[in-house]
Amino acid sequence: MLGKLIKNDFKASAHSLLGIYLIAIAIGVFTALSYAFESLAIIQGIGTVALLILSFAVLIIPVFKILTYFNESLYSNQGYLSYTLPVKSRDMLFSKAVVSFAWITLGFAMYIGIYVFVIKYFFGKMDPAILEQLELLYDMIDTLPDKAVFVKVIVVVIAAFFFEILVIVSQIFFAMTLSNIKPFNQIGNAGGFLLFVGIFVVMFYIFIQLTQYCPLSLFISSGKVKLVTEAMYGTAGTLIGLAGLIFQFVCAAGMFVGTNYLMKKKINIK
Amino acid sequence: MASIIEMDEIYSAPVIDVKNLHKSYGKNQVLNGVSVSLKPGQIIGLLGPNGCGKTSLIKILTGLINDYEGEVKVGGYKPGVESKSMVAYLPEKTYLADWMRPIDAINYFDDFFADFDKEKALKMMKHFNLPMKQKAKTMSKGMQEKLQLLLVMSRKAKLYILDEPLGGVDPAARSFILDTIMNNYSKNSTVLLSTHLIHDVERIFDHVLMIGKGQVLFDEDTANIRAEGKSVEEVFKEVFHFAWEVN
Repeated sequence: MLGKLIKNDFKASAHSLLGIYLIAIAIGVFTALSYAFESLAIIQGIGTVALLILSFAVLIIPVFKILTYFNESLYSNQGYLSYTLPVKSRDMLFSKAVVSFAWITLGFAMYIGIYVFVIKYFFGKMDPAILEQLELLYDMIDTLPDKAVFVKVIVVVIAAFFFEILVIVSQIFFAMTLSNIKPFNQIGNAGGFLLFVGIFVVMFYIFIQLTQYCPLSLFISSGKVKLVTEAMYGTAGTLIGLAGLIFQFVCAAGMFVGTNYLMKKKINIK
Repeated sequence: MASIIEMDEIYSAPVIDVKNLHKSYGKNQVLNGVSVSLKPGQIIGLLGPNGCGKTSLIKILTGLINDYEGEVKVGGYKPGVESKSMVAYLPEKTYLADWMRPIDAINYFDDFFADFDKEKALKMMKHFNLPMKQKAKTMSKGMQEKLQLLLVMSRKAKLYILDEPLGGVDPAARSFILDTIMNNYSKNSTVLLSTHLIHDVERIFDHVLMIGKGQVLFDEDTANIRAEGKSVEEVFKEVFHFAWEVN
């Protein structure tokens, strides 16, 4: 059943999300083609500006669309179908989390892709020295004495980045579910969005404070990755604050469990 | 011999068993100690005026409302995955997503309900003159209701729960809906049909359950009502004269 849920969630969410990605791809291809012709400078400029605008759209719109999709599929009239399917609420939640994670990740991937494209084509054309400098940077990384540290840091940063997407998904689900339960359901249609913003801001503030001031870190050096609880000034390696991440992990897990509980025990489909 | 008795018990076990059910929305008590046990293989009329608690009871049986007090069993199970797999539910509201076309809705039901008969659904779609690829958002309310009716009646469910399927439609459509239900429900199943339009449907009921002020006011086989020379509608008027007074 989980596979069928994921398939149908992808299909349903694609109707509202796929469009923005297809527009970005179409403009990207169109603009890339225009760079093959010197005479199409205006189109190159317009296409590049459109891509830069779209780079923000592919980051922000999926979050809003997922917020809306989650609410509509579970708490509007469609809930009459979703909640009468012979599936567990945790499976419904997991399916929507997988699908939301995939869409938001795709948005980030496109965001990065757009900037790589703009740097390569637009800035590279304006000043070819930029591309040379980038190549120098790659070479420099390649010849770093502590290249292993760099690679480990990149791996940890990417893992943390994926984790942050899951945190956002958990915040969306929890906020939208909470907004359908008394007393929050009296706020109105904007309730879910306001709760999401509130949860996001509070968690982000605590995350920053804990990361800065709590001495619990991952110390990455060429030899090893280890957990440290004290300052490591003067030691060759990189420190990544962990307290904030652990806080977010606990909160995200709590929000998924909380959302599942509310779906099972507290939601009344109107 | 023992196995025959056991089988008999299985088939006569209540398909819906509710004990001392309470449900309130804030201070508004909509179900107040409802207890009912319904045998399988019948067409049951769930009757009562608007706001009497019919839809709340149905939502509890179908798993749409979970914060209630009391004991509820559907097909021997608490409302959950097992009960949902045996209940075909037609709500008052249209629940299909805007983008869904009849063929998408049919595939969706085919994915999730093991008792869904896709061939039957496709035949009914043609019979109902529903365009296979028209999106729900461009359909009239009547077309959407037809689509939902065919989806529900294409299941070989143990229990059909139909919430006001005749409400808000003209007499011709009413007759069409009733014929569709009668011609397509599995004969060994139970049908729980809520309505306040008794005159049109009383002939099909084997049993009626009348709810008012959140309580069961009348629970009887229609054969017994007819044996007393009365119609369901007459009993309804008697019961709800009282119910309106107490409401």
